[in-house]
Amino acid sequence: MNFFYLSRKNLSSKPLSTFLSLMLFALGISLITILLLLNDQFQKQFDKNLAGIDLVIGAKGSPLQLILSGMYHLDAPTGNIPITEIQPFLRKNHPLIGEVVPLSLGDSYKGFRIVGTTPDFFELYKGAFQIGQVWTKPMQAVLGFAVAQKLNLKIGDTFQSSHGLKEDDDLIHDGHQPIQIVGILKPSGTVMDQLLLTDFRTVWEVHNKQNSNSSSLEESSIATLASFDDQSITSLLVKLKSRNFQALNFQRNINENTNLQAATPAIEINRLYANIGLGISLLRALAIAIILVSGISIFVSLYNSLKDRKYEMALMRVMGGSRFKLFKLILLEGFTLAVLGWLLGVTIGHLGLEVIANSLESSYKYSISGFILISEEWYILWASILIGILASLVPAIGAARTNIHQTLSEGK
Amino acid sequence: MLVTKDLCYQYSNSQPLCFPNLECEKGGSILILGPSGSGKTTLLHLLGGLIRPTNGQIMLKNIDLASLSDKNLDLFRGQNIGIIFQKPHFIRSLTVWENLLLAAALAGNKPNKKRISSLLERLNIVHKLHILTDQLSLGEQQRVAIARALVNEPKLILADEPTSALDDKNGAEVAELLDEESKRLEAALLIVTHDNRLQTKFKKTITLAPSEKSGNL
Repeated sequence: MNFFYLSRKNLSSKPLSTFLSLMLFALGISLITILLLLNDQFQKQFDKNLAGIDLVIGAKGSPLQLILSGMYHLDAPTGNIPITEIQPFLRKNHPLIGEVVPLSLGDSYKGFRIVGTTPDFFELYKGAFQIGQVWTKPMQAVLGFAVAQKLNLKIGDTFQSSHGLKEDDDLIHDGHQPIQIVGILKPSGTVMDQLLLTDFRTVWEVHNKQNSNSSSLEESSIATLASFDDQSITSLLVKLKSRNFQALNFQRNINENTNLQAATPAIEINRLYANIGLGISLLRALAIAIILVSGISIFVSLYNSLKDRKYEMALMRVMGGSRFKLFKLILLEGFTLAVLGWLLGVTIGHLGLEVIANSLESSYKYSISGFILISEEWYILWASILIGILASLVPAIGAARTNIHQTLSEGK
Repeated sequence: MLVTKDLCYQYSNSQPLCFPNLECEKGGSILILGPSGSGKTTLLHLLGGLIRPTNGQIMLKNIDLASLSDKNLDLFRGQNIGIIFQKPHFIRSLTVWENLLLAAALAGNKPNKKRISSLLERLNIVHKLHILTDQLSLGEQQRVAIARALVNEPKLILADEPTSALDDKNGAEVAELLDEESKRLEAALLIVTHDNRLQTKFKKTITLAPSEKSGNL
């Protein structure tokens, strides 16, 4: 007969009020858990996808949209930029630019985005091949790991791209030759896993069939891209040689003196955080409020059950239980409730996130998992225990102060 | 075994209740009689160490209860004093058997299951061990309460009106059990009662005088 057993029995002898306290507590904990996990995974994904990119150059419009579409493949692209206008940035000996990667966006296959680019893209995101190799000519594609897995595609399979970013059979580009899969990448944990990558000319060819033969022999490179004076792309990812005063001027110069815009990922993403941060802190405040209310509910339920059990407390004193033992017993009941509530909440949180993740993934093509544990969850455990102990402190003191003589005389 | 001297207890704002000196040897028994308000329950709680006397001394096993700290008094009570109340009360969330184990655990004893089993056999409640105490009849409950009081082989058994809620048959059984078990354990048995049925069984009686100003009991 130990006290864990006794407190468990006491709790299960009042199933309804125990259940209510547990559910409230678990609800708060699961909300906090989901927020923490989402925050953590989004931040990690966003950080990984930064990939050392200093600037994104694209058409005028919302800089956040340019970053989201160009780097995170979330929003719609801002528009096209003619290659004539970006010629200077494509020069190999540009004094400020270290590396550029062109992007042609706007097409998709079964909801996964197609990106027309050069093999430099793989260097940027540290892509390694699981099987196959990079394209050697247009109309060949390399698949991100998740795409190949979800769509069950293999090397040698072909597909027709579709206009726009939504899955829609009416928008399939017919009349062009199918795009052939020549490589599949290893999982990288970046947005690259969710993309179909192809030569930049593929995108032009499916839209405009005339070019198909003339270009196909040349190497897939920036220099080749620069030679297509009459074409346009969507954006340019730029790595600078160094981030200094000159680089800042370079960005301002683009924004003020050209038809292009240059956006800094870190600044835009921080702005995004600031915007959604309000929503997140509201949700967090709500979750904390629920947890506090559940703490109060634990307090009320223990306090009430103690009134009913006053005689039992006196009895335990008669049988040799010290005041401190009774104190510990009630504290243990609060502790047990809190730990169970935590366990339940964390379980619900993780399972709930997994469910949310599935719907997020089908609409945003971002993989979020409910089955990742993060260290912050242990802080929630400590906080839960603290709340359990605080909620049971007053009832526990009440139990310890039971007046045996009076209670027994009244209970006759 | 049990010796008291000049025992008095004063409730706030009332005259002190004073009690005659008691002496009870091993295996002996005393019936304490008196009208309500004479302080029978107060005396019992004093002897059980549930309250401390304002005056006087209680010696059990040659130990002065006043010399024990609160915590040690709790433990001493658990190990050496078994108390039976008029209406049996239990930890309602526990079964009969668990209530008995709890009594042993609270006194800091490892329960001797063999000995408890034979005690339960004598009390004729072996077959009711694994049900909740609410489901027992009053007579059965009182027998379980006796078993609980005896689990730790106490040296002093205190009973507060143990038979007054019972019918003649159950009352006689309970009185018989208390007598037998206290002799077996060589414990001092003190029964506080106004139940006249018990006077035929227990010869040594002390009658408390009604106090002039009755306390709140």
